[in-house]
Amino acid sequence: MAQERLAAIGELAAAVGHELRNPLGVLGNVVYLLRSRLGGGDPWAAEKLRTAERELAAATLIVADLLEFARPRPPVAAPHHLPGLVDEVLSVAPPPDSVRVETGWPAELAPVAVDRDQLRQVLLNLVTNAYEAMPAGGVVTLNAERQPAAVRLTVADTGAGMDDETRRRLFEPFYTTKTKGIGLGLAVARRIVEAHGGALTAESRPGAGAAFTLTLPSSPPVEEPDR
Amino acid sequence: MTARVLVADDEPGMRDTVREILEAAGYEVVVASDGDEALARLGHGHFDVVLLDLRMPGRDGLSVLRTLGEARPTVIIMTAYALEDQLQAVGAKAFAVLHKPVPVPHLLDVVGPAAGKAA
Repeated sequence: MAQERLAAIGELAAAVGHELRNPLGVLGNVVYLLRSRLGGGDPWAAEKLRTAERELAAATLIVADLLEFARPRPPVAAPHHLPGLVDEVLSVAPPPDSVRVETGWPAELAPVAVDRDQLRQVLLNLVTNAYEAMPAGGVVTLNAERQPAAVRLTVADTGAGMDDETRRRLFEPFYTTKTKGIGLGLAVARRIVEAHGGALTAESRPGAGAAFTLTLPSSPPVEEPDR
Repeated sequence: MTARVLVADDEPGMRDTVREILEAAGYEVVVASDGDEALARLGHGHFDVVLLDLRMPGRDGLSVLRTLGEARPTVIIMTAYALEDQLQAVGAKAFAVLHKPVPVPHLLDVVGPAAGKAA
């Protein structure tokens, strides 16, 4: 009986999530149009638009995580370059004023075979978690490196770090230490990465920040990898 | 020559903002609010790309795609619903399937090559 109720709640949550995708899409388009008209010359408007973009990204992520948890979708992979996907994520979820983002890409980084929507969801989870781990500000570093037949991306923050229990339970569904959020982001992110044949791991110590490492199989080169 | 794009979506907010974004990017855009209107527009003018919402009242996006046959413009499906819709659309040979909400850079990244393919 409890199982049936849980399934019914899951179905309801998924239905609500689907219905929210259209209005979230329209809001994203409106913010983009406002930014193209107002964002350049007016620092006040630019700052408000960045806040709107961050909050929209957070709402979109909650819906995406909920749907992916309730109804997992097998990836439809195509070759993509990680730096382009990271740029897209940083434009959708720009850092708060107190956070600086640094990126390091090796020359000739091989493309990875990924479902673009799903990898964006993974990266959004890692990047927004890093922002939230540093309420007083800090640095998020995204570094990629080539591996034999794989690409490894590390997302590191300079926040407060995690204790042993948090690090052990980090990828459990509904486990969260945050005052907001539903605790699905990292569970879903790991499931997506593993469905791509990759791995997602975390390292952290109290007071020493956290680093998430994403390893994805590289894809054979193609002519137009970013479509 | 400017590429012509038809945007078919029953949600006015989505339809109008996508139109404005594509016009700002240099496309000539015509809109339709359901599948029947989309087919009527397609019957009376040349289009390079069609952005089709899957779930519309009356004739839906996949039905429009199937009706168009082989000599159709390049079709991009936009959907708020996932797997089963996506597989059907891919089976019906859409150029791409975009899951709403679609970030604008992603939308422009897909429409560009679709228009190039049609040219």
